[in-house]
Amino acid sequence: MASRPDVYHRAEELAAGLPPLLVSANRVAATISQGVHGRRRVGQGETFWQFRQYHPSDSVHQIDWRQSAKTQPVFVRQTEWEAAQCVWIWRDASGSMDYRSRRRLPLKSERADLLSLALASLLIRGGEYVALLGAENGPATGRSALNQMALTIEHNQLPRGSVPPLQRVPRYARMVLFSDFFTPLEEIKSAIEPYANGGVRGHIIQVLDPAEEKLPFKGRIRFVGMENEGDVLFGRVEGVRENYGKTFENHRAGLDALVRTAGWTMTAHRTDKSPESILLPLYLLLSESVGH
Amino acid sequence: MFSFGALSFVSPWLLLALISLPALWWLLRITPPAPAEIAFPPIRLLMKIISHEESAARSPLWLILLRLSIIAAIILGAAQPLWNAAASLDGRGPFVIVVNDGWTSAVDWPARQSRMSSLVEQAGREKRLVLFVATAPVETQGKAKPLQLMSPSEARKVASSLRPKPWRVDLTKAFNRLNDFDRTSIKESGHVFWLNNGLKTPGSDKLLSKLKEFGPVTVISDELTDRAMILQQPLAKGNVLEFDVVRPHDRGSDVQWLRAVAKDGRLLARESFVFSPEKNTATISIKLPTELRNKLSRLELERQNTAGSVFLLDERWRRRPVGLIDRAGVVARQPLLHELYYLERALTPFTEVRKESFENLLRRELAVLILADTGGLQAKELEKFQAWIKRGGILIRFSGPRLAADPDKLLPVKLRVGDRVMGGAMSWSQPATLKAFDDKSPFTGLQIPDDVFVQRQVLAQPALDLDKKTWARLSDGTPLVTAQRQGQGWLILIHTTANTSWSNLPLSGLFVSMLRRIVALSQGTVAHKDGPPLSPLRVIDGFGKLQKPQPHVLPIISTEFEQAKIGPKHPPGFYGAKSSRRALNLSPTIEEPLALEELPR
Repeated sequence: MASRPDVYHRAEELAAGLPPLLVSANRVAATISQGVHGRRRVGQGETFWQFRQYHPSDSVHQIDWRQSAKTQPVFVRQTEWEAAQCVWIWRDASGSMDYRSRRRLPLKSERADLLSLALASLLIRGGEYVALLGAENGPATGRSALNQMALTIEHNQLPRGSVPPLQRVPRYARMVLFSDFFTPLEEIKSAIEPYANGGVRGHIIQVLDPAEEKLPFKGRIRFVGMENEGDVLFGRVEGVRENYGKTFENHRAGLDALVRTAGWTMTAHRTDKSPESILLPLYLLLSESVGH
Repeated sequence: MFSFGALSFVSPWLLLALISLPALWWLLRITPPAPAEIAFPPIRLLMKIISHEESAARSPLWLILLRLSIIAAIILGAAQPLWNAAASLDGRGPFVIVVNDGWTSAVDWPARQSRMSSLVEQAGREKRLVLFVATAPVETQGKAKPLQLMSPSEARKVASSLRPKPWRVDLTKAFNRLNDFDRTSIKESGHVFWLNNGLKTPGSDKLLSKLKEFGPVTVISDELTDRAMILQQPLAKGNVLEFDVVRPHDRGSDVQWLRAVAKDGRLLARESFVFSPEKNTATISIKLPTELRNKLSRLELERQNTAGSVFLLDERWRRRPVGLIDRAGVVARQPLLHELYYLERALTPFTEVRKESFENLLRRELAVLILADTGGLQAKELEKFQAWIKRGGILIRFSGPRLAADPDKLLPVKLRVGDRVMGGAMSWSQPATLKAFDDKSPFTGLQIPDDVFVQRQVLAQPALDLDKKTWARLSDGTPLVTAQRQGQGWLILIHTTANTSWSNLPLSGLFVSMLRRIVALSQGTVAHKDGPPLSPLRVIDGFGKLQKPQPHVLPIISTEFEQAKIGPKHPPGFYGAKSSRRALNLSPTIEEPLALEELPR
């Protein structure tokens, strides 16, 4: 298992391959603070956007006298609106994530940590604000925020539940959740619903080990849960493989339906695939081009 | 003992445990195997599945068979099976085990040792005492330990600690030891095993007749083709080393390999050679560049590992580079009159001769430098020569008309100007012959032919130390060869010419022998009577490997080195000082190996 401090560097390396992520802000929200990139519309900011003819409702301070002196109408100078989006990231730190079926695969928790940090790094380089769901610190940006986040993940100081904790999140924020989502659907639903109702748009990444999808075991095996769920004994695992596949698909379909109802999206990721393979779809989801 | 054909068991009653196997089979069939435990995160999904195949769990058939066969193997092992166990021998007397542990036995030592231990084990099973006799002499303080009957466990220790010796067996001594053994303690007839090396050895008939007194004799010999070969003393022929390898039989052709190894263990050459059918000798020749050949330290036969298959080479085998100074401008139109022609002919067989100018010669390593008749050397040249001699070189100068006319400083003795003619037309005297060499001269022991005459020579000024410096004289007492030690080297003057104009010495074999002795001087191998004894440096063990000498290995007096008898006191190896070590080899002392004729079994 890669040592934890190493995760930070690997995440940075991973994120270096993609351009800084600009999260679209579809709606104006009070929570959005001033940021560094333009929103291609008039608003508060420092960069010049356009001249507009003076309306009586405009403040006299806004008149651009230099421009107005060149021609007849009186012009008002308008700047581009610059604002940053805030993204809340949560990754499952429960015991069931510390699993890998083969030695050369990473642990699911390792992969989740790596992806969250890589995403955070991308977002921060794009000027966005990032926060860990459940952490004490609020949204922040800049390199120090990334460092702080890496430290928090490294020391595992977050609540270790299998579902995201309930916390006050501003409306219209974005949320990215990494977990295996093997908890019963009702629990997931009750964890997600409050956020969805609050106007938060989220993305769920289901991090899976290949063995969890395919059940490649043979013979007489006693399966033991990793969070004290108890155990199950099978005389011939081969015999139940098909049945398990169906159950697995049902669970996933249920999860997908649940997420759709909330207006969120869901993507599955297996640890035997490269982390880049999920970071790119995630990047596209979060960036402006994919519109909902 | 209970047996099936070749297989027998020491404790056959243990085989009864095999009856329990069917019971084990039944037990293993009814118990399901313990499940493997696997941690699995999506356990909740698994819990939803209701398994219908729970009851079918059984150990697979192969696993049961494997377990049963493991148990059967344990039972069979506990019953101590023996393959081809020797049938118990008649008589209740002791086992007499005679082992030839001379140098030849190293070839198949592991086989011999396992044979010994199986015999000792058999003695243990039959609860008989063992009389163990190793025939190679060993170093004993004072009188040899008398033979004793031992228990099989003691004999096992003795047999396992026995190592082949790098010298020959001494069957006469073994006979004497057996003769001294008090046989009154043996009540019954025993059995004798003689682990022979299959070679004819003096005293074997006598020993055999003695052994018969102890009981029936079984002679166990090596396979004929496995017996030890001998690497004979090499002959240096020019720059080729030639030597024979002798095998103790002449059956079939056989390809063997020979390795030439340097002092530091580097492999210098690896040559194959073939024994043709019907021949027991093969000849190998190795050609090596002089620099490599001078590094050569041992020759060994591959896959033999005996003391006789290793030949250690000391300084005597090195070809020393000898430089003949070819002074520019001397063109030999008539080679038979040219001095260098005679020198070259005399030196080529045992040295590497380089004929070049002085400057060119000194660019490479050189042992001996020969300067034919030259006089009046310049001061600059003189210095160069002297510096070279001081570093350990040997300069041999020959006289002649030029030196006689103009003697310079680079001479061991002061010369009178001019030369002396004996037996010329104007002289009453006869050409002089050589006087026998005295003990202090390096030429001592060389035979002087009657037909060597010296007609002219240069004469030394009489001086107090002239006598000391003289190595060879004419019959009238005047010096013919004088020498002076300078630094680490020698300056030698031959008072006559290197061609036939002053003497017919260069035509004689004596000339070659004298040059050979002088060249040998450069290697520091000349034995002095009062020289220190040669103490052992490294000796060969029974497997032909060089080892540190044991404390009981004694130094050899230098003059007796050639005659040293190889044995526990003087095992073969390197003796002397590190800089001038001498090799004592086993193979020159071994006579041609002959296969032992059939012995009664």
